[in-house]
Amino acid sequence: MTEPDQLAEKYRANHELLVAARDRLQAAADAGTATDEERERLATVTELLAPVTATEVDADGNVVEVQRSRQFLKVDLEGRGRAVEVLGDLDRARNVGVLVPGMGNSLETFRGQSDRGDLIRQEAGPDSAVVVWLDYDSPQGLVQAASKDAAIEAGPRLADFLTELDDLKAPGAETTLIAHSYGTDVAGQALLAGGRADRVVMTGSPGITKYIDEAADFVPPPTRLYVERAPGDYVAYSEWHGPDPATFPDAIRMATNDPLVNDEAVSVHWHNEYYRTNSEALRNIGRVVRGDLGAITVTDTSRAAESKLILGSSWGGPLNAASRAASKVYDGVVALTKPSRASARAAAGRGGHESPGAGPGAGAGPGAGSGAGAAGAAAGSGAREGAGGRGGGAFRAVGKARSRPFEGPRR
Amino acid sequence: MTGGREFLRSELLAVAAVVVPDQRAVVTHDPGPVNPGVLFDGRGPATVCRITVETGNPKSPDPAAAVQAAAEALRARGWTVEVAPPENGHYRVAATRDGFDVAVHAWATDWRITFTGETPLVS
Repeated sequence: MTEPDQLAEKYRANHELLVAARDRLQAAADAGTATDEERERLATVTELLAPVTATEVDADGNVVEVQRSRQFLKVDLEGRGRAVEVLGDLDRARNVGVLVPGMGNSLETFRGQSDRGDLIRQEAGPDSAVVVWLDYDSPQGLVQAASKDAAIEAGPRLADFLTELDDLKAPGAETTLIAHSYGTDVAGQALLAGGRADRVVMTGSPGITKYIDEAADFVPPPTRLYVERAPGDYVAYSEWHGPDPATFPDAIRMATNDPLVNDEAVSVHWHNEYYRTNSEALRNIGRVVRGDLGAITVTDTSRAAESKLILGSSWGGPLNAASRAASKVYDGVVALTKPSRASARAAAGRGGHESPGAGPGAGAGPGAGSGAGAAGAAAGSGAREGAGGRGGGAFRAVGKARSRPFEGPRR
Repeated sequence: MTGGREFLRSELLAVAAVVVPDQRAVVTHDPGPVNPGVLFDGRGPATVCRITVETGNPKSPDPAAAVQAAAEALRARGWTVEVAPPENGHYRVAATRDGFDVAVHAWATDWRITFTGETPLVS
């Protein structure tokens, strides 16, 4: 079969599986024998079967509405449920993003993840498709999330999927693996298991493993690792599973807020705002997926500077200490992370230099946020430029430049 | 959240109609409340509605003019608007109003103009 035929067959088979499940669950509901869980699953399956709407052009050149079934490469209705959905035309897209969600997910939350995938696809542009990959048992609580078992179990399966994807997507199409929170653990295990993508994006990562403190440890060249850590992201600060990828010396730390423009309304803070509409965090993810690497904005704000959220006092140290404690402490940690957005913005604007691998609270320095224009000069060799300029393969710098030589988007 | 969702949809459709008056704008994404802002990724109560409307002029697409027209239409309806510099064929408008966010995307390689909006976060 050709790739389009393979895809169509997979979509059709999974649609039929959903139809059969809906009919079975509906029959139980009609008979009054369905449990609460079955009724909830019936609502979920019914939603997954609802057609999606797109636009096309008719013979007269008019925009017309078209509807088609959702495109599932996999649906598993057992237990919490799993799904792998394609948004867009996978067999024609030049750029493909694979989104790996974090903890707390199930088939019942898939709507939100599919919505997030749609946002990424819009940012990536018309030649893009996004695959939402929820083919693992996402941890449902902090006790489960403290364990890497789910990631270790899922990693090889994601690696296999990335290999399978090579046969399903268009020849030459580039793949970006995008992972959030616990999903970064899954993505990390997939890469360690031999999974390959052209680019890797990690947002709000609690770390990969204890012994991984640079991208080269698990991301084989020429693939580059792009990382986002927003001010106040207590999950990234916790380094629960290993060193924070935002501190890796060979990762590209993308900006989550752009102080160069007045986008206060879309500032990104804490752990779950990386995919907000109009945010610099989401824009950068879109740039990576579509391969527009020269337009990426980067930052180098330190954890300590980001943590100065309440009257200039840092809670980063206590936060990190608490975050490493038993999971039951975590509720208390969350309570610590409720300062105002205004104070978080102020902290984000100050920035500071953080040495790679620096411990909690280390490396704070004032004034980094004002150094965007100087960053290019500091980096030298023209590989990185100030925010006012653009150049092939160069990044726009936001915040203070690292002292190490900055490498271009590809090597 | 229902009122916000209805308001957002009507605003997106109204602006799309101003930008491309001779085509019918289509709501392509309106799944209802989702939960992007909860503590642990997907779990938690729904807090946001996101809607996408598409339109365009397939016969003579002009993405730069389209986003300018969208910006003017949004301003006229009370939105605070920022037109981003073109970025390698990507044209964009960001708009805010009373906690609502709207992004308008147009591309040099596609005739479509997309209007995506989010309702204010319900905590």
